[in-house]
Amino acid sequence: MSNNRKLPDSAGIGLKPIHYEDAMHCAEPGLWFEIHPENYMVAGGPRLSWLEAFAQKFPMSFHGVGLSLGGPDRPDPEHLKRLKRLTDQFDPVQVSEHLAWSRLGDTYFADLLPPPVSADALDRVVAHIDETQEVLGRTLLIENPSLYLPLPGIEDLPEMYVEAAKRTGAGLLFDLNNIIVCEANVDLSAEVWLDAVPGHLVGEIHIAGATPRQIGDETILIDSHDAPVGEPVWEMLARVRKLYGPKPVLIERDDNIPSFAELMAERNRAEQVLRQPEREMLHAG
Amino acid sequence: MPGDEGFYQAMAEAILDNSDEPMVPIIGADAAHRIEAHRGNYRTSVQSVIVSGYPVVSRIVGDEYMQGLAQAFVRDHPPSIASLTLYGDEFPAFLRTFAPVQNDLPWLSAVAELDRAWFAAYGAADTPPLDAKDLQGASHGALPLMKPGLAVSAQLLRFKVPAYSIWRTNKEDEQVKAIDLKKGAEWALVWRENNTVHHAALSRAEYVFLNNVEAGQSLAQAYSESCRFDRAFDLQQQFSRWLSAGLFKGEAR
Repeated sequence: MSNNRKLPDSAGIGLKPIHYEDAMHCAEPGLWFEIHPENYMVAGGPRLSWLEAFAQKFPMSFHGVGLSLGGPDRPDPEHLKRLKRLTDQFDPVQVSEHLAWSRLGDTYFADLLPPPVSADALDRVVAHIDETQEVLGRTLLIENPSLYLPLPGIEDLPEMYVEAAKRTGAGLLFDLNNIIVCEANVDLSAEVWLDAVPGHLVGEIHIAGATPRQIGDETILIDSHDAPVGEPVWEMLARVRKLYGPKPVLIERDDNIPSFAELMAERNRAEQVLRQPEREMLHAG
Repeated sequence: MPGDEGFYQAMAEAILDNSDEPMVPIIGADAAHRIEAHRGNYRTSVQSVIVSGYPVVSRIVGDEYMQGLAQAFVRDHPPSIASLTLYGDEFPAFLRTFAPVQNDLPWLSAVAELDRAWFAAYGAADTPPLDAKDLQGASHGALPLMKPGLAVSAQLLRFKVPAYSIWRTNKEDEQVKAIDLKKGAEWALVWRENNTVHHAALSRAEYVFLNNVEAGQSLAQAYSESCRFDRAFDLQQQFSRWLSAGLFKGEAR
């Protein structure tokens, strides 16, 4: 199973309802949009009308947050059914999810919790990705998680991440803010991620802002998506651009949403990084 | 999953636990406080669904009190599904049983029902309504026998208090109007026509009429019960009004 289509190697932004009008009329070349399908799991109405209009005009990426692929249980069949209904109806260019979990028994945690790092955990996540890809009839991209807790075996997480993709035929959605967040909070450097992640598996890159939060006596960097993309993340983007070549890059913003123009300014900065000529990249540092 | 079961369980319990000193066996005592990062994410995202899903309730009680209500609700009703657009149905019922609200704002749960009805109509399935064109060629005598039903977006509500007046002024007016709580019972309708959600106050007779149409009665049957509440109830006028508002179900004949 593979996807014939892929997102353009240009920069896109996360689509928010308050930006529908502006976004729909934006003619910036190469622009694409990403949504969380969970926000569109309704029977009908304006939300779905807008999604239809965007899907007809722009390349769309569906970035799920609720499948709990790294969890103990199989993906919730009802949730999977709702997701399939959306992917069948709107046929996005790309569908992605997380190496994380969010459901235990009947409780949904509305967060992306880190999976245990073990051979069993890898087997489970592989089975969950396989099942999802089978149901949707398409391959996924899998995103690396943000980490706040010093979990046992954490240093092997990048390897487990890449292995999960290799065993399922999935690609990787490499979130650069998450590797900065990991580096700040736990003993897992960006270098380990960069060493583990082969460019040819990367189908999309996320960049976002993080917010420091005081917890006990420590400052923990939270993957909050409520601020502009941080400078360390921009530096990381320039680095992976050099390593991997141009890839689809998404500006993620889910809270404290600025104007569409402000988001587009960040998006165009990412576009500049992507469009930098190869020669200049080679000479730069 | 022999080795990992405890991992998931420990983390889940630590997130749902509200104590200041959580136990998180998998990461050891010196880092246990960090679970607060995940607790914070969980609470913030789930509570924000309640706050934004009940905008008029939020306006009435203010941000801080609303956060408190959402927090109490989430503690009692953790979400069970990953699509949070479907979460929070029980909030009006929760407000009815939540003592501080019951004492101070006993009508708040009724206002919450209207917020919920608005979102239900907003996200209801797209079904074409009955159109005047569909009725061309129908004999005059056939009309009373029709059982059109109501569009799936239609939400009929009735209240012992003037909840619709309270909700409406808080939803629409910059300067909220004073509502006399002694005004008594109210009936209301929320529905969507194309992509626009509408709402309207109903008389008791109109409520009974539409409620019976929704239950599958013929227009004549629905009309006869309405007349008990309003002798001047005009079937033709009512039918035209709701037909042009897109309220009846399509392909009704």
